[in-house]
Amino acid sequence: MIRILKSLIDIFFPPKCVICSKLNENFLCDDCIRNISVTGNYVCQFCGKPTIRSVNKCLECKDEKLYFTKARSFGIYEGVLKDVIAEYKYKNVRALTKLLTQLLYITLQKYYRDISFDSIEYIPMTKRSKSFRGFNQSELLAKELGKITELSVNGFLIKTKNTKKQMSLSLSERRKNLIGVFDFVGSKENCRGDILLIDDVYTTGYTVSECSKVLLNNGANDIYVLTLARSLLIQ
Amino acid sequence: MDKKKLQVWIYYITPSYILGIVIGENIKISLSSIIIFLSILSIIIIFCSFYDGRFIKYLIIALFLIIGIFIINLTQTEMSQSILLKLSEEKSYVKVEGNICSRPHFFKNSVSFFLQVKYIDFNGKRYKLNDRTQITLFHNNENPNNDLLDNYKKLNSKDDLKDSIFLGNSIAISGRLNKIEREISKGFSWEKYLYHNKIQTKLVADVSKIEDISIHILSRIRKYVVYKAEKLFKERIDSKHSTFLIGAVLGDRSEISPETIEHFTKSGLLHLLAISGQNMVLIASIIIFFYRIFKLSFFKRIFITIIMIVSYTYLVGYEASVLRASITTLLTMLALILGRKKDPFALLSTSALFLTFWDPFSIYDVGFQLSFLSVAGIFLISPIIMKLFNNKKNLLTNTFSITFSVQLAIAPITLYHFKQFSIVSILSNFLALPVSSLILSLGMICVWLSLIFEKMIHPLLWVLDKATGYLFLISEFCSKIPYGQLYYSKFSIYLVVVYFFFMIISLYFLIKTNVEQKVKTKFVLSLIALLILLVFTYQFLLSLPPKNLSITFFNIGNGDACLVRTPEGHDILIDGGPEGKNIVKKLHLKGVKKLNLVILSHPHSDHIGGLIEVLNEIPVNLVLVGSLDLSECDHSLIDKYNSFLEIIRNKNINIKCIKSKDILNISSKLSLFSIWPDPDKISFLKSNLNNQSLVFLLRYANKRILFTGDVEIEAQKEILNDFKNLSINADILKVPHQGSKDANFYPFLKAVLPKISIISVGLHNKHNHPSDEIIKSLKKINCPIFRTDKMGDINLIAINNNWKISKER
Repeated sequence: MIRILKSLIDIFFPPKCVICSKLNENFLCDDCIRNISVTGNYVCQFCGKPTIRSVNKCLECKDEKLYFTKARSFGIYEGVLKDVIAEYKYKNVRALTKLLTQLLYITLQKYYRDISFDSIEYIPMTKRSKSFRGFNQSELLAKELGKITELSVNGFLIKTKNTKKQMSLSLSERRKNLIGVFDFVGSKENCRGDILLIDDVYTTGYTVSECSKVLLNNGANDIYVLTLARSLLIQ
Repeated sequence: MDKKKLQVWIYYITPSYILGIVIGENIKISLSSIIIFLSILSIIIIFCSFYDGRFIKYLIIALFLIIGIFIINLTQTEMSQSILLKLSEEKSYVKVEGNICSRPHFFKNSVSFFLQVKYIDFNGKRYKLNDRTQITLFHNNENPNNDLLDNYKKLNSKDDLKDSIFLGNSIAISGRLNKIEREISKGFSWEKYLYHNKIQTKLVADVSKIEDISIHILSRIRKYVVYKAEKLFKERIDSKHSTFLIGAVLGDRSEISPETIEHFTKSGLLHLLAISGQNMVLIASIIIFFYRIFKLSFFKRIFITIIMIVSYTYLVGYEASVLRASITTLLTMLALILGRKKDPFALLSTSALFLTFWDPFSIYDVGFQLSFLSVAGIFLISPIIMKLFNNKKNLLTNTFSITFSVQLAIAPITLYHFKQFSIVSILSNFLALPVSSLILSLGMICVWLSLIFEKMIHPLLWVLDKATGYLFLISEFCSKIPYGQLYYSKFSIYLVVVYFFFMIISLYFLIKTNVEQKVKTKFVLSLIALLILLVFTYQFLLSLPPKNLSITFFNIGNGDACLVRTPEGHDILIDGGPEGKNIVKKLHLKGVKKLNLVILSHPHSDHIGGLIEVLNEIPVNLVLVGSLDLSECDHSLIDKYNSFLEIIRNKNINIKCIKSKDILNISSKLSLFSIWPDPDKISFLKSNLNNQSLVFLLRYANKRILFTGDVEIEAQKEILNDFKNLSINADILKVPHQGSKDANFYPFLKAVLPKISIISVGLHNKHNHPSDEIIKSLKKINCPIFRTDKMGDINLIAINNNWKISKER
């Protein structure tokens, strides 16, 4: 039934690559995927920033107090990947969820193969921003990833305050901007062990760090961050 | 799992379905034709799928082709079995009841609209049906004590018809049904237009035959909204501007002055007067603007947009272009709900499919065609134009590429339907696009706000007034640019096909092939250069004088208008027909740029009306009139004649009054010999202006053409008396007075003894011209008759000693 419905929708809204408009079932064609700059073998062992050689802590994160254990991203936040995420978040092309989750899964396999996670958590949005956008992209990705990995997706975090956009602030303001905006609403018994934290873009790490802090305070052992893109704008 | 080849199915479905409709309308379904058709089709399918192995694709194409043929035939069969049609064949007296489904047109003495008939009472029985008919109701609004309106007033307790006859209302009328005869002809005709609106019958009655009027709550709301906005516009905005705004924002174009329409047509801005996709896009952007302020949630946003689009579509009445735009917008909303990216071309095809599925005849609607082509032009051509600017996106390049590509896409269709294409439209739209968006969005905001806070929008209305003033300036300026119009009378459907064929091939080359961008740019530039060259060569060739003497009697309804062109480049116009019959356009289509001589036979409105338009538009050297005694004519006629003379004075045109036996030499070969009126004799014929008509013989080399105006028997007798010794014999005779029986004087016809006679007369005229008597008399002298009502424009070319006669529709 769903398949019939889907093929009916396909007639009126043909599945096309969001970047180059070539026909593709996944809404992103193989050629465009190849154009994404994927993070390579050499990354900062802590925050996942692409580096020239393998380091334990890179210049960016060594002076920061970040609460997660590790962070990794699929690719660099530029070019095709940036456009795809913009289409996904702002142009409401939710059909991309499946493919983007696949990309996350590849990254999961690449960096976190040895870790057995207890559950998946995602970065929350405030009620107002979620209703404004209509969906929470991290939530969609986390839930889809939960289906693939057969892990439970918790959603214990909520965001209580509307904050200014991180992009519009200076580095020192960004940290302050997020203090105390996340809250824990779930049961502490289920919040334990290693948790995989999902977000779309990692820039300074403050957002995921704040969320990790809340999770750690409520019983989690280790937080591993997984994001689609890693922004390199800040050196 | 086998690798499924993806297809954008809608790209195949819609075109094949539309092709099916076109084919289906022209073939009759019978068993043999089905078998032949299916076998040809299956051979093609097998051959094609053998060729590239995609059987399903060709099956789908064939399937929708057949569905198209089937649907159109179903519609036609349904229409041919219509009860109304059967009753109209017997001219039955019936009572019809239903909803008004078109915007009514109010004329001086009548109102006309389409009725969606729900019930019909005939012979005391009541039938339920679903059909359409055209209704024309006569009234006499100018007469205050007219009894026609009495019954209506009793029913309605309202004085003005406009208060209760409007779109969406239900009404019951009794009258006699008449069948509308459909001509089988190429090109546009009113009857064909009606047929494509599913109207095959008409009912003519007077207002007193209205038996019931009831107003639905929805149409009452619509009326209220429109009325309120109209009132506000009229109060606060210059009247010319407010009629334009009512047309552009609310879709009611009935009050826009012909002058404004003319300016907008000539400058290629006419589309602004119609509701189009632009309005819908603007509604969406207005909502986006508001949701940014109020931070509405995603689903509220979509909900509000859908409500707005649907209510606006209802408000302005559902024309094809409006429906196209609102379906596209609704589909965009659906894409957002489903989380799909919208594909503009698929959206367009989908809305075309929905529209044609709802009403297969809508493909013949000009608005439908223009709407789809212009949007397709924007999506397909404008990226190519943008590449010429190296993809530098700014307001200037964006506006230019959009206007240019739209004009390129709609040019052939415009030429096909209107025989006229405004070249300056590229310039005018370029200038007007920003301001028109402002006007439309402000206008729509005003309509909505006027319902809530009336006072607050006064400053907005001021801005609106100024902006509209600017738009009017643009359109007036652009309409006056010389050589801004392209006239082409013979733009056939084949040329349209050829044009699009080449366009598709070029687009395929530019989009699908991997040739270097440099080569592509050169290709595009040379195409544009070729196009410009073609246009100018055509303009130049058209302005050249004909090789032989050419005479054209125009079909301008009931009245006379004749153009004479000589190889030496002399253009002469004799009378201009009635007002508003596009004589100026007809002259342009002939390539006339100036007129050496304009002759007015006599100032009756069916002769002088068009001439006033001509004098205003085309440069004229000399005007020729006869001496007249207007002492017994009514004031409106004298006023008209005076305004005619006024224009001549203002434009510094020479004017000459000739009397009988004057000779005017125009060139070495061309001369004019005046026969009538004799100023000494007209005083006793003054009671009948027709008898004061200028009668003259136009002589070119050995060719003689007699123009007789509207002279009747009395004057013809006088002429015969005067010219006992002089010959008035002629090759061609323009039969006097549209062949009226008052002008049938056999001795006169015998004296002229024409080889060819022309009757310039309108189809189905109320005077029953031409009369049987005059046709009999002409047959008696063995003279072939050519009539403009039957042939359209009649063109005669003198080749050696013969005349080549051709008709032009």
